[in-house]
Amino acid sequence: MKARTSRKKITGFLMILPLLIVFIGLTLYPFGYMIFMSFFRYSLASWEKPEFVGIDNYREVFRDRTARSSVDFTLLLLVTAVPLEILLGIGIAFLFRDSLGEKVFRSVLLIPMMVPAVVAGIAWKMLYNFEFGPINYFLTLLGGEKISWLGTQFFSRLGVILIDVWQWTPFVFLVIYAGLQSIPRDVVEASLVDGARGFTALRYVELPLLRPLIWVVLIIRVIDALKLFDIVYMVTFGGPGSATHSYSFYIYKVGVSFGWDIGYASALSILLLIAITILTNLLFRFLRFRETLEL
Amino acid sequence: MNFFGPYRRSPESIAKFGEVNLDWGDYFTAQGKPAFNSEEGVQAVQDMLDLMQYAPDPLGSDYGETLEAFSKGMVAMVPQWTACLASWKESPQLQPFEEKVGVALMPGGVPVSGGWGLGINASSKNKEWAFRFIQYATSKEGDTIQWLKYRIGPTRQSVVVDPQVVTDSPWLQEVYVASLNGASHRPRIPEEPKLEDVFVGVLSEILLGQQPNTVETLNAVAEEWERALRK
Repeated sequence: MKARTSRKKITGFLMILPLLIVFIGLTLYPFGYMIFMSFFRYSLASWEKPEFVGIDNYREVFRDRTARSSVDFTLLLLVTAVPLEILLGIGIAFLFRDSLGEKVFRSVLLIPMMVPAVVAGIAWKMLYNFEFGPINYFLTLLGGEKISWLGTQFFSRLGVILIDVWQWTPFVFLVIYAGLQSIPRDVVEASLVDGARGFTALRYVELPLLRPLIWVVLIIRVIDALKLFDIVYMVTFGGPGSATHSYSFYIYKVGVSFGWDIGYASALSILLLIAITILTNLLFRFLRFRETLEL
Repeated sequence: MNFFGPYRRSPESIAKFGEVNLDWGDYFTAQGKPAFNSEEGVQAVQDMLDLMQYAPDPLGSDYGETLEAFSKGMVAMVPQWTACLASWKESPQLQPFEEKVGVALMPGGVPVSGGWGLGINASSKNKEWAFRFIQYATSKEGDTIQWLKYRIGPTRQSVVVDPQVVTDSPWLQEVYVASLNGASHRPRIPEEPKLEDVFVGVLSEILLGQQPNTVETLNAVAEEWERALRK
């Protein structure tokens, strides 16, 4: 009996071994190596060997003005784009539910999410073009002035936020729309029988039932917003100056594009990981996530 | 385009900062200390500020868009490498090309040098073939083809004075020699991309009016440069 149990355990272990090897090789080892390298001065642009510098790389982050600017912009994105996406996504889901042409609207609304970020980035860059862009064309048709969408801090930041909202509102819509379909009709009908009308039923019956989904979407979008890279890379490349450097984009610049500074980029990455962990934990507590999901 | 170069190379600046060191370039003193955080540097940035009014979208245009602006005939001048001449030649807005487009020495007379590097990988299986290719690509014949067909700037003076090249591009010799004589070089140090990135950030803020164009502002950049160099 004992021998059979241990053989079963060995078989089980052997079966998950390939996955374990992949997980260790592609996730745990690089992660551990990144933590290790964050304590070294190691630039791939020079021939020097890694040199242990303790927490110098972490100290440098607080002195680095571009790092500060990238934190500013990432936080701005977090407090503007994410709430907008959540509100618009919920609003659109309620608006199009049971409406005429619902299926067509649903398909059309999902297009931004399905377009690869690189393609979306090129398209938006053309839309924002100062001389030839359609947005400025229509602005001048309406008697307005051309806007330097990518040449001023305010408009380039606004531009990136708009793209993020355009691209990810459909995701929120999709999840909430699916949630709306799964709300038991009898609950809603019972509330109508009890006298709830329009907004009251929505406010006191449907939204509370959707709360677990809204929290999940919120956390996914917060994590995604903290990691924003592709749109910035394609549309503004962080400019003008460092106005639209997202934190992830700055890590890329330090580690690959302009610096090859592996030690410093590792320290920046670790800090991002810590920030995401703290923020999601705070959200979990603040939103009483476990109770909501009945975990 | 090196706005600081003409100031850095004036007799007064040579006396102040020393000769331009080939490894450190124009932005440093002969001793490898930042030189741009000075009145000369402020003046160079002021030149950029003064020129901004002539660009359609100075801070919102990337490299490709500046090429496009010129090929559409929207701007009178654009500082560029030579290779774009081949594509501009096909632009309908720039026809007749020979009459409409000319090449001149960079204003201030201090262009930035740029080049291609050819090397052989130590683990290459065909080192001999690779070497022969490099020999051909850098030979007078290869250099001539690259210029005539693709407008890649010659690396050999003998190509510049070649009768075939002179007939094709009579302006080349004068501009080429003048550019070589005034050429400035990016610092030949591993930290160069980082230094450039730091400068671009602050320079953009000055050009956007978010920071004043003063020696103090440039001092802050110089401090960041020194910190990056100490790392």
